Amino acid sequence: MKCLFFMLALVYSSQPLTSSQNISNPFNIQQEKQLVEKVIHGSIGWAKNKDINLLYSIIANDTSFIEVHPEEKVVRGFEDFKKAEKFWMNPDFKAIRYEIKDLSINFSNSGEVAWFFCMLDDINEWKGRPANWENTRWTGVLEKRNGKWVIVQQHFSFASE
Amino acid sequence: MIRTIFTFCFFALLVYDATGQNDIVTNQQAESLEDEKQKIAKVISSVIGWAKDKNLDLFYSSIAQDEDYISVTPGKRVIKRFEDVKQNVPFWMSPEFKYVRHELKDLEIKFARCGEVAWFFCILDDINSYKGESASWENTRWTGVVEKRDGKWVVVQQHFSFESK
Repeated sequence: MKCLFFMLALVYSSQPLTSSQNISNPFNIQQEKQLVEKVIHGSIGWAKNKDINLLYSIIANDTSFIEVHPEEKVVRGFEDFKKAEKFWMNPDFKAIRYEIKDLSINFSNSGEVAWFFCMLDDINEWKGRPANWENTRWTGVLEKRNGKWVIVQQHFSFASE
Repeated sequence: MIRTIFTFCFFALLVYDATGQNDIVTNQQAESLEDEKQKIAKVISSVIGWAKDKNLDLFYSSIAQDEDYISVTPGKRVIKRFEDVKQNVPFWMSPEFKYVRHELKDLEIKFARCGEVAWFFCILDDINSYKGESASWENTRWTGVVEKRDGKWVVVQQHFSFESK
């Protein structure tokens, strides 16, 4: 009987251990930084090949997503975010190059959230004219969901004179 | 017989875990989440509101006192560690700098699934004067990240900006 309850306790108590990744996958900061950096780059770099699926896999697909633009626009929710698709996918919109400078990434103690700061030059054309964000201050927050980092909030701005 | 007892106990535990107890925890979590939101809102407000009584200790306790703290201001300045925050202290503590009022509008706080981190967005009016002249940030877009450290929420990164025309 003792053996029975011991087995029962073992089976039950093993559930949280197997569901938690703490034991099987210890947090590797360098590895996670590389993954986060790739996501940050992907959120701008997708435009080179107009890989919209890449972009949508990087942005949190939920109603609470927020994105502040240098201009007046504040995107609220993933559906609102997708409204820009017509502009981006238009043949008149062309990604020329982008550069991310001074990137710093920090992780929460839990290892499940990251936040970053960088300077962004995002150089594009619209109908042959520049459509750029230069010297843009870019901050953001990412959360690891189902093993993948996604951007849950971001803020782009230009320094005010 | 033993197999029957084992099976009964096993499923009883699963049902216990999957039903009533979880509902109770969920309700408690919802209340707790609302409490935590209020605590976070108070910390966010203190990042500006400390100036009313020039309570510098309140300000310092509201932000992360480390090398990784980042604060992007609407102007050219980007503060990249806690020590850099102190450069502004002579300005703020000067009798010429006077807090008038501040208001956080449209505040939205979202929690990470781990519950130990949250991020926020709001529109800030921070109304002050310096030597009798306006020294205000109006209609400022303010985003940030807070982390619970040693049981207290602190702002670890923030970004203030004005709309670019």
